[in-house]
Amino acid sequence: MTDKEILKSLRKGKNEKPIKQLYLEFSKIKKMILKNGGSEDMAKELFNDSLVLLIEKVRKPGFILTSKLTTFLYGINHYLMKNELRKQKKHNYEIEWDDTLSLPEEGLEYDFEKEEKLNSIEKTLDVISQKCKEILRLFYFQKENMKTIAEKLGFSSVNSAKTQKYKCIERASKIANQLLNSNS
Amino acid sequence: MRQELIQIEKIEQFLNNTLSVSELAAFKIEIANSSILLQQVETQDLIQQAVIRKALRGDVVNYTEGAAGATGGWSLLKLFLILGGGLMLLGLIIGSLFWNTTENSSINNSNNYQATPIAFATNANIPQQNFNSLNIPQDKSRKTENNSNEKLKKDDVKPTNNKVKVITKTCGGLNTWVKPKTQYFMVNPKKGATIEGNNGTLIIVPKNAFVNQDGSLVAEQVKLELLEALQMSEMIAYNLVTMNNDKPLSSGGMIYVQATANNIEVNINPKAPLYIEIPTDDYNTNMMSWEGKINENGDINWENPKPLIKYLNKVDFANLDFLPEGFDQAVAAGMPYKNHTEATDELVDSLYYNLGIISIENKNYANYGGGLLSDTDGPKLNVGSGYNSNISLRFFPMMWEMIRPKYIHGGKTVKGRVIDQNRKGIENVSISINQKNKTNKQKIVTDEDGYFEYTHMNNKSFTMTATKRGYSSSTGTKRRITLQQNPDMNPNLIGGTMVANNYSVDSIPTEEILQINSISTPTLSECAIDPQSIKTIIAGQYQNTFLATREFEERLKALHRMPDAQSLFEVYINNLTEDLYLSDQKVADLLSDEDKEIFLKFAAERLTNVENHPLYQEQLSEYYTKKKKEYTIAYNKQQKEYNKLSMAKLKAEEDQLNSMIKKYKELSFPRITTGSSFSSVAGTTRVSNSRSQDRKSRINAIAKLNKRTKSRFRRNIATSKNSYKTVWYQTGWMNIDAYLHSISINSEIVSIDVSVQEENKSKTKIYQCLNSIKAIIPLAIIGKLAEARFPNKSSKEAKIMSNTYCIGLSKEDGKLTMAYQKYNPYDTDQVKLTYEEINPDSLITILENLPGFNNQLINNLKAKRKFIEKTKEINKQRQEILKEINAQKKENAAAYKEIENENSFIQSLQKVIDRCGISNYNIKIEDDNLRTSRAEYMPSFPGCEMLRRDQMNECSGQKTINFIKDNISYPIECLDTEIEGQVYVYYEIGLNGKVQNSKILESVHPLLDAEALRVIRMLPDHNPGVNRGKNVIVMYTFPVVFEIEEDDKAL
Repeated sequence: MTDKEILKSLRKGKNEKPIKQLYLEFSKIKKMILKNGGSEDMAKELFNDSLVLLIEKVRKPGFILTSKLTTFLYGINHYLMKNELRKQKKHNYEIEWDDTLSLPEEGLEYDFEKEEKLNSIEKTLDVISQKCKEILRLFYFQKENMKTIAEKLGFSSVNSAKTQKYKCIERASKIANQLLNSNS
Repeated sequence: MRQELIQIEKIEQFLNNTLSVSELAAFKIEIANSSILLQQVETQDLIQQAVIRKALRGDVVNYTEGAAGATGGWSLLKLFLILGGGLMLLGLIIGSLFWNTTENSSINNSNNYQATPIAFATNANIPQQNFNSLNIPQDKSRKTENNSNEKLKKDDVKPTNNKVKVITKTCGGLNTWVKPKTQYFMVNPKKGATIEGNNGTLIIVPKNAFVNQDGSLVAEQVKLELLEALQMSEMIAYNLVTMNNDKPLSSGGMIYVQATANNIEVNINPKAPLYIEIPTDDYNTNMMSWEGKINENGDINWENPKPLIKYLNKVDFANLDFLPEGFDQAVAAGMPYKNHTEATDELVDSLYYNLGIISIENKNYANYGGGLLSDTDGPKLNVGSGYNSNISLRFFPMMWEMIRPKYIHGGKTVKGRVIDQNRKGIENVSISINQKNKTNKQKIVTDEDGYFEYTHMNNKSFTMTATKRGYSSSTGTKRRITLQQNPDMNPNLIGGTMVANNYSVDSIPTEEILQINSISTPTLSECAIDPQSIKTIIAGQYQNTFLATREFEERLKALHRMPDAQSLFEVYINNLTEDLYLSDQKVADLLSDEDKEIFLKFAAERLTNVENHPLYQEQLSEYYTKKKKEYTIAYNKQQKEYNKLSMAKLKAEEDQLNSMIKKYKELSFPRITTGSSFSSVAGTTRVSNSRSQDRKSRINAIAKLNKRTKSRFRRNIATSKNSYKTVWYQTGWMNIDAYLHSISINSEIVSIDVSVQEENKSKTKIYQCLNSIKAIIPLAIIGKLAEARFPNKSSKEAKIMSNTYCIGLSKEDGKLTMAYQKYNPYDTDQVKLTYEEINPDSLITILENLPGFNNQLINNLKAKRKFIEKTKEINKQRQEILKEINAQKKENAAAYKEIENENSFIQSLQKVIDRCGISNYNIKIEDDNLRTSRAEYMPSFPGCEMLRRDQMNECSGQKTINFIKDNISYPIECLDTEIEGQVYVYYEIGLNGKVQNSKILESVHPLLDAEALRVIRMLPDHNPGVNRGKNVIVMYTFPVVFEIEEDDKAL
């Protein structure tokens, strides 16, 4: 797959092939993370995070790839690793990184606060019912229209599917607000 | 759609840019004016993104092989990081009190046990035998049996060859005064049988126990005939004198056993003899087993004595009771305790075995440093060679192994396990995490398998110290067994590399040893036996030692009462291979006075060691298992009955029993005096009607009394009443007897006027009956006199003679006459007998009820009274405890009430174990299924109920932490004075989901305690925990950490 094909596929929500291809880079990235004092587990986690971030970026309207996709991936990993070390307050880090493409933080639009919030909200999504999860996933991630969703999930009408969706959001935001408020 | 949902729709359109321009402008203004709306928009935005991210993450994990699982925990852990602020609260939810009740082994109802009693010779329906003369053999009795039972009619005599012996005589040809109460059992010789006689005789018939006259195995059903004569009354009625030629004996019980197949006598297989136990209340070590030989006159003589079995029978530990006497009572007195209303066996055991003495002696500790690590083959006592060597039963050597140190975002997770020398997990070990210059930073506690997990959230090095709290026996103060490990010192942990192999710490820092050595422990200071030692025994490999016997159970009961019991107990443990009586002797040597007497008595039994009876073992253990269950049920039922009664009713019941005992003594067969009331002499009978009526009613009353008090506990195996054991190779009469030397030598002679006319002499017998030792001596009649011999008045044995009867029995023309006289040979030298006709049916009853003649009835009544006394005692104890609690409750703050309640209960238990009052116990209570720390579905914090089970727990824990963090306020007084610490709060989520029974487990400062408790009590109602579809109470221990940040301190 070329970079172009990968981007196209990712935008359509067909993630399997692109992810599998990008995963080929993992062994190299892992080596670099280990070299810089990370662990195997950490490497896995960072790499997975980087894939998520990458796909999110790609899916955003107006995203333009300015380098090779793999270079971009290395860059994200590099950034996440730095972040990790910063968290551990090893200020005098000097990361050895092949294939350097240092992304400026603004370029990645990586917002700490938001990331933390997102993480906790991701957690709260487990609380809502299976049907809710499915509706939200189909609508926001798969970008299915409400009619298809209503058919797929066996709702009597599009309207009742819609109502259900909003109820789900209501419930999720209730929990999320509780969580966010308690954290702030 | 509801207004709220419309709002959500609008926000969604806004976020997805599907609003029209005008709508958008209006909405933007709305947002600007409402912070609530703004927040909702932000939240909804985040939710949308989160949905996408979650899905993406799912894809990523799915499509990258082997990466799954790594993402599980860390996002939540990050949440920990962003908490913080003025004070830091970290919490752990620990299931600390968990008890898994082991189920009682069920009773095995094997076919073996079902030897069916097929007929009884009862008095009413059977045609009376005619005793024409004592000298005529009673050959009619067999016919009578056949008539009495239809089943037996089928078993007609079928002689197969000329050699077979056809049974023609009952009871081996013995002349008896009344018809014997023979019991019959049908036995399948291929299966064997376990037979229990009506009076408690146990006969184990192994497989293939019978052979025909030609030596071949019997294949047909065998009819086993059993006659028990365990009481004096039966012995007299059956003319069973206790003589070995002219030497008197003292009997422990006689039985007659006969086996027939198709009415043809069969022999006992010498390779599979019968095993016989005869119960006794008064074990005499000189007893032997004797064979009864019947002479031509139909009288018995005992010959060929053989020693009894003195070795021990193994019993399953489950059937032994090793708890100190009174412990169950103390538990019962403490009821209701928590949610228990009854002191069940399980609860009693659980409480006892969880009272543990933790102490370390120097010697033991040296052992620890030595080689305990290599002892990994399951439970093992370090048994030394000599008596003084210590065994390492009493302490918990701890070590730990790290299982999975793991690097996670922002820190590291250390998974590990604290284990003992047997690699068994040690539960409830507190592990405190110490960072440089900071102590009490965090504390975790191992679960019931010793596992712990700790996540260290920064990069500073830290030290982990495991502590098991205990008490020093000598100083009475809390002390700790400590183990230290600094994970950072292990290179495997640096950089967070996964460690594939477990490793264990096998050395202790020297300063720790020094610290422990500085506590001086006097040797052998423990008063009580450590329940843990006993727990070790019954859990271990001791089933094949003398520990697993009823005899040891009896010794242990006595040991519990001794001073320095643990060391005495260890005498037995250290000499398992030697004979039991040697240990008895050693223990006796260490004791003095009355205590010494007890163990000297044990030693005198000269019991050897366990031996395998492969032939009987299975049936024996089955029998005792069954008996134990029967006994327990009966006992509990009785106890329960009394527990229901109020004190006043109990008192009434007791009074009634006392009056019954008194009445019984009055009711007894009246003393016959000379004069007009004397109505008959042997052979001629003229009983006045009124007198006969009077007697009849008395006998009825006695029978009634007897029925009421019939003992349900004839063979009380739980308290190990001894029995005489023997293996028997032939059928016929057997007697457990000992020589009665005291009468033979230096005896005094008392003349008795037996009032027998010359023509009746041959039909009359005079017995001298020594009740207290069960001896029946026939007296020769010379003229009208008989001479009885007694030990010299000054001799030791004279005392037992004060309860002597002279009994005369005579039979003519089917009429039985009897005369008796109780006399004290040292007061009178002349005794006169007078005869009365009696119904043969009531002979045994009359004899039984002679005063002091048969103590069974009195014993039964007394046993019943004992029950009542016990119940009263329990009630009394409970009242005392209640008083104590009430007094304490007034003094203490509300939060401490429950703890005190429990403590006093535990203390009352300790008092029972430890009569010297010098030991300290580690108090730990475990509980039953209803109250648990591990429910299948743990209670969930509102909002977490929708999650998967594992996530739910995480969610609930997190929410609890957040809730506490949000609601707690650091008491200003403590801030000023910089009081920090960790308050352990115990609470339960009840069946209705509400927080209940919250209390302080570990206090820091009253203000901090109160604050912690206050917040815990504010927790919202949970969804209750569920176990197997049933709501359960779930217990939590929550450490609330009060800590002032360095910055705040500076201010």
